[in-house]
Amino acid sequence: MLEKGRIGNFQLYLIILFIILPTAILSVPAVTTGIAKQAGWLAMALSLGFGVAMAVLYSIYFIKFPSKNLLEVGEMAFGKWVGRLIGIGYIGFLLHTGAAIIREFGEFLVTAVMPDTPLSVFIITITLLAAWAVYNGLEVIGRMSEFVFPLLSAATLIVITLVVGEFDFARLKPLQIFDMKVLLAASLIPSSWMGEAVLVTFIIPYVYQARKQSWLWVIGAIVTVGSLLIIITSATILVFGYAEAARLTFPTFSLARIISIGDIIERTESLVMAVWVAGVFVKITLWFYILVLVTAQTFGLKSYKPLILPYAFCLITLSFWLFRNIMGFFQYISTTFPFWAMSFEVLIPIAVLTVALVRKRGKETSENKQEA
Amino acid sequence: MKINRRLSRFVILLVFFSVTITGCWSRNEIEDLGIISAAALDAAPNNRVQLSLMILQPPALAGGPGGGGGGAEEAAIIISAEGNNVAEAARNIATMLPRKIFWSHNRLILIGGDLAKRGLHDLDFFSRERQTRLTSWVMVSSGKAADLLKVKTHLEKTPAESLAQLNRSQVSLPIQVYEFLSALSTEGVGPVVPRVDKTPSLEAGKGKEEALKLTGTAIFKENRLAGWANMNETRGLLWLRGEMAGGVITINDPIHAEGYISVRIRDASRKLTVISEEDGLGLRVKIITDVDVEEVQQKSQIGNPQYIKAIEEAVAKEISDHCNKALALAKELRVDAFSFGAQIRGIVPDYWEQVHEEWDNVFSDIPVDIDVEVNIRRMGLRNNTMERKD
Repeated sequence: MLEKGRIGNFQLYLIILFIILPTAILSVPAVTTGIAKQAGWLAMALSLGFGVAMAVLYSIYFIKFPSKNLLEVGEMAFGKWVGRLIGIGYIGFLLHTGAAIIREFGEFLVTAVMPDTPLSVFIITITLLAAWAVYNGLEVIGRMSEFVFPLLSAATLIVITLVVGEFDFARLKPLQIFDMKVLLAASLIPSSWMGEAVLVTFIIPYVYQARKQSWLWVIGAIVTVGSLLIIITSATILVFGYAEAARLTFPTFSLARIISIGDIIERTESLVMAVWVAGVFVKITLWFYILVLVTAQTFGLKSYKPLILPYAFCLITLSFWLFRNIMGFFQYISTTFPFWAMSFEVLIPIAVLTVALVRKRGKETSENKQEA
Repeated sequence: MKINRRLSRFVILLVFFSVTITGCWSRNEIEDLGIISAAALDAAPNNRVQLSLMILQPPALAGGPGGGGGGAEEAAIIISAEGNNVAEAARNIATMLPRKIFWSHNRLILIGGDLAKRGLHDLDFFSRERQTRLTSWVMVSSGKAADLLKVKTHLEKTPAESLAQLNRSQVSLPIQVYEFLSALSTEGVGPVVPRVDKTPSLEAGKGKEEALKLTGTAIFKENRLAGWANMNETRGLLWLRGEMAGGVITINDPIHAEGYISVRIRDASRKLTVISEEDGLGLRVKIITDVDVEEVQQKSQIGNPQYIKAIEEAVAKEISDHCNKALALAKELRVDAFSFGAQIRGIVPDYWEQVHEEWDNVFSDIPVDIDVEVNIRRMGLRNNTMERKD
C-alpha cells in the first residue's frame, strides 16, 4: 500500500471539513447571495441537501468497498485501462483545483492584508510548506487538522457572536421563495464545494477503525459544513443586506472588520486572518496529498514521495497561469467551476459505483450458483 | 554519517530561515506614518473633489492634558488637496506630506453640503481600500466640511474625537460607512446622515470661538442630498424608523396653565402594519414607549391617575407632532427616509414589485396613520413636587 499511516473516524470527519470549509467561508457567501438575494441562506440550505445526497453517494463506497479507494473500484468496474483513464481525469481535476485554491489564498492575502508583498511569495511558501506536510504522510495531516480545527471554529464562532448586535432581521424579508430556478442556480456553487468531499473516497482504506461506521462521520461532516455556511451567509446578509453582501469581495472578512465593541475589541480581522491561513494551509495540503496519491496509484508507483517536488512546481506555475486577475478567479468559480467540479464529484462516482455494484452482485450470484 | 546528514540539514534550515524570516516585508515604522483621524470631502470646481485630512501630531498628543509644555502645539494639522476622485486627491496630498498616509485610525468622514447635493460617489474608496475602517462615522455639514475640522474643540483633543462622541447622543441617527453603503444598495432604504455645524463656543464669554453641534439630519435621495431635517424632525425620523433609544421630551403642563414637565424615554418600539384600502395601500405605525418623569415644575399630585393620563396624552401628542413633521418633510422631498419601502417589500412583496420603480412618488401619496402609546412607569426619587407654603 502507498500509505502506511492510518487515521481515525474523527480525523476523517475533520479532513472532510478541511477539504471544503477554509475557502468556502471566504468566497462562496458573496457569490450565492449575488444570485439568490435575501434568500442566500436558503440557497445554502438547499446546497446542504445536495451535499448530504453526495455524502450518501460517497458513504456507499465506505459500506460496499471498505478496503478499496475510488480508483480501485473503478478498475474493478471498467478494467485496468478505463480505470487508469479515470485516474488521469482526477489528476487533472485535482491539479487544476489545487492550483486555484493556492491562487485564491495568495490573492486574498495580497488584497486584504499585505498589498506590498508579491503574490509569488505567498504562493511559493505555502506550496513548499504543504509539500513538506505531504511528505510526512496522512497521519501527520490528520493530526494537523485536529490541531487547527478548534482555532478555526472558535475564530468563526467568535466573529459571528460579536456581530450579533448588528443583525437586522428585517433584511431577510420577504421570506417567500420567489423563484425555484434562481434558488437552484444559486445553490449550485456551494453544492460544488460540498462535493469536494469526493476526495475522501481516495483514502477509505486508510481509516483504521470501524470503516463500516465511517459513513456516519462523512454525512456528519457535510452537515457541519452546510450549517456553518448557512450561519455565515445569514450573518453577512443580516449585517450588510443582501445587495451590499454580494458587492463585497470577501464578506466574511468584512464581518470581522466591522466588529467594534466598546472601542476596545476592534480590528479583529488580523487574528481571524492568521487562523484562516492555518485552515487554508491544511486544505492545500490535503488536495496536494490526494493529488500525489492518485497519481502514484494510477501509474502503479511504489511510493508517492518522488512526485511531491515536481508537483509542487506544477502547482506553483499553474496557479500563476490559471487566472490573469482576481476578477477572472471569481468569474471562474461562479460559472465554470460548478460544472467542471460536479462531473468529478457526481457523474464519475455514480457511474463507477453503479457498474461496480452490478458486477459485484453478478459475481456474488454466480459464486452462489457454484456453491449450490 | 548520520550525524553529518542531520547537521547539514540543520545548517540548511538555519540559513533558509535566517534569510526568509528576518523581518516584515511591508513594515511601517510609526514615525513614518501620517495618522489620519478625520477626513473631510468637499466639492471642488469642475466636478472635482477636495479632500482634507486631519493628521495627528504625535508630540502634542503625547504631552497629555495640562502638560503645559506641549500646549502651544496643535494636536493635529490639516492638509487639503483636490483631485478627480478621493484616490487622486489622496495621492496629491501624499506629495505634500512627508509621511505615509495611514488610514487605519480614521474615525470620521465629513461630507460638505455642496458635494452631498452634487451626489456622493466617493465612499467606494473607503470600503475598497484595505486600511480604512468600515466603521468610520459619516456626517454631513451644511457648509464646507474642511472648515469644521479647523474648529478648536473643547474637552476632546480633535474635532474627530468630539464628533465621534456626539454621535453617541440619542438625538441623532449615527451611520457608519458600511451602513451607508448598505442603505444605498438596499431596495426601499434611503440613507440618512447626521448633520453637524459650527456654533458659537460653549465656553461663556468667548463668542469668537466656535464649537461643533449636531443640528439635525441630512436626508439623501439615493446618493444625493435631498434636504435637511431639523432637530424636531430628526426626533420624528428616529421614532418612525424605530431607532429612538432615549432622550428627554418636555411638554407644557397639561393641567396647570404654566410650567413644564419633562419625561425621559426609557424604551421605545415601533410596529409597522400595512392596511389595504380601496385605492391602494395605507400604513399604520404604532409607537409604544415607556417613559419616566424627569422634572415637574408646578405643585401637582403626581400620583393622581388622571394627571398621569393627561401627561401621557400630552407626551403622545408631542411625539406624533414630531412624527408628522418628519413625515411631511419626507413627503415634500419625495424621499422615503423611514425605510418604509424595505418593510413593505418584506410584508407585501407582490405589491412592492409593482411600485418599486416609482416608490418615491407612491410613498408621497400613501396615507400614514400614526398611533402613539405612552406609558409613564416611574417618577424618580420624589413623589410630589416641591411644596411651597402658599
